[in-house]
Amino acid sequence: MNQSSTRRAVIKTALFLAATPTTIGLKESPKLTQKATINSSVLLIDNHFASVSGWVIPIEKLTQGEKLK
Amino acid sequence: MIRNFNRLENIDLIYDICIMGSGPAGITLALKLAGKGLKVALLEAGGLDYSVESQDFYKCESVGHDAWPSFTRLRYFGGTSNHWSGRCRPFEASDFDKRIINGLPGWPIRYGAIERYLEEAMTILDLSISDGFNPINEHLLESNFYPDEFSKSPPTRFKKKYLNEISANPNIDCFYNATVIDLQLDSSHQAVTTVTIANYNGSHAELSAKDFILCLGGIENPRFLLNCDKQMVSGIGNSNGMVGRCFMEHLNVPIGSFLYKDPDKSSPMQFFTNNEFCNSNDLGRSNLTMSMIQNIKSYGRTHTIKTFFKNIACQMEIEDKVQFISNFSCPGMGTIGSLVEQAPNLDSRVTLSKTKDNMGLQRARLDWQIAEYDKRTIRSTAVAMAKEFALANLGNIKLADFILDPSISIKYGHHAHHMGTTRMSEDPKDGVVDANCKLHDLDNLYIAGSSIFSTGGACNPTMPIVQLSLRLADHLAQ
Repeated sequence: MNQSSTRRAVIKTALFLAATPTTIGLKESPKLTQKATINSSVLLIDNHFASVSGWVIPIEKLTQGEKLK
Repeated sequence: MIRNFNRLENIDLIYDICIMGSGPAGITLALKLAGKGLKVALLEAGGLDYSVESQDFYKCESVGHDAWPSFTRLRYFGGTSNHWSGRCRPFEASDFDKRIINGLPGWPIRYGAIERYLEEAMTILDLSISDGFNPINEHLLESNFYPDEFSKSPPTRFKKKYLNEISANPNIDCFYNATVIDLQLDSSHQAVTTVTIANYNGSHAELSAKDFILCLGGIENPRFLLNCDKQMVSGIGNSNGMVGRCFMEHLNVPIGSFLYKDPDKSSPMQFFTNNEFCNSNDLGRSNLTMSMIQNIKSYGRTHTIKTFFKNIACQMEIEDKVQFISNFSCPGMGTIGSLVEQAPNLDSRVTLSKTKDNMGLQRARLDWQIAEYDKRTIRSTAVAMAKEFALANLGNIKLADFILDPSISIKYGHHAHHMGTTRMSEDPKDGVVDANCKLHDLDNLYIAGSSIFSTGGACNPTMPIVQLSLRLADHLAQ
């Protein structure tokens, strides 16, 4: 491999590495939705509310779910 | 007239009123008293603009929780109004209800005593009287919270607005580069006779007046009084050991994040705890601000890099773990900020450091302490808000881990509101000044500014400072 090819390869690699985070970074993540995970910690706040991994949720919705319109 | 104290020689300094400090309190008092025909000296320790040399005098030893006392204040003409945000909200009438917190009484005056100065204060702060104070959201939560009502000053920079007016006023002599370094009392130690003023060249002068008003700010007012120990060993006004005690901030605690149920909703909301909730649960007042995260707060190259890592953190659901690097809250969520009333607490205090400034005065030492009462206010208010948010079917709130787990330390921030260190009280054993802002110990020394606040409520202090200063001016002009 001659010197100019080596230089070109180095430049291409550098450009690729520089561009990758830029391209990914410019695109914002989609909006989050609440996820229930297996490892969620559940804490009873009172007779009507519980905390699931910090999210404060009515116990009624935890046990019966929420009706979708 | 505006005069540079660095260039003064052999002058007679005799006035009706001597005002020390040219922030919102000092300038309000000077103009109002001069308008009543009194001859006023207005002393500013700094210059007409920011300087490193002057700002150095605000270096402060900080122990306990850090309120950044060396950086949140400005020591030049106009004082801290040179960088305030402009948010204005009047005190609640109930803030003046008689109550005992941490063994200390609240205000010895009722709200009506300052309410009548509201419109005059609004004019000074360039607020529209006809527009008043308004909420940014509707009554979505009915029981424990109501929409906060506030107004935004441009914000008013007192130097820009009032320097020329003061300069042209024949009843005001404003001296800048004039640091007050001592007070002299009469032989009975009942009245101030003169103040000693120093300039940056090492020259001193004495100034006489009938009445004296300290307007140096919530940390400097007690610092100065404690430094005046030549005639009173424990400092002036400190016969009951209350000077510097009860330092209060408004607690700035990130209580959690939230998701709107409606994915298209993005408007911010602000709520205020109501009387019944605070009284029935024995809590301080709170203002909660819910804002959507639109963009990462950085610009240029770091924005791209932070966005890249934020996306990875959000995908891996580890954004809470990497907050120490940057704000990695994820898009679609909102953050909940707070401005929480801190109760007066004898252990939270300003004392003197062993180190001295260039004028030979001991620097301030701030020990900001937060009591169990305040922790209970934060946790109870946050849980109540999370429950009501869900009940109103707005969405859900994710509380910070320290809200539900008392074993985890609360993350405290501040709002640069320094209050309570020369608090107003009916009984001299509970404070430093009386209901007329006069020191309990002396006949002619008064204090203006947020250091006289008996309790801090959950409103921004600049407008009440102006209201109380207008009230003091009327009292002195009687």
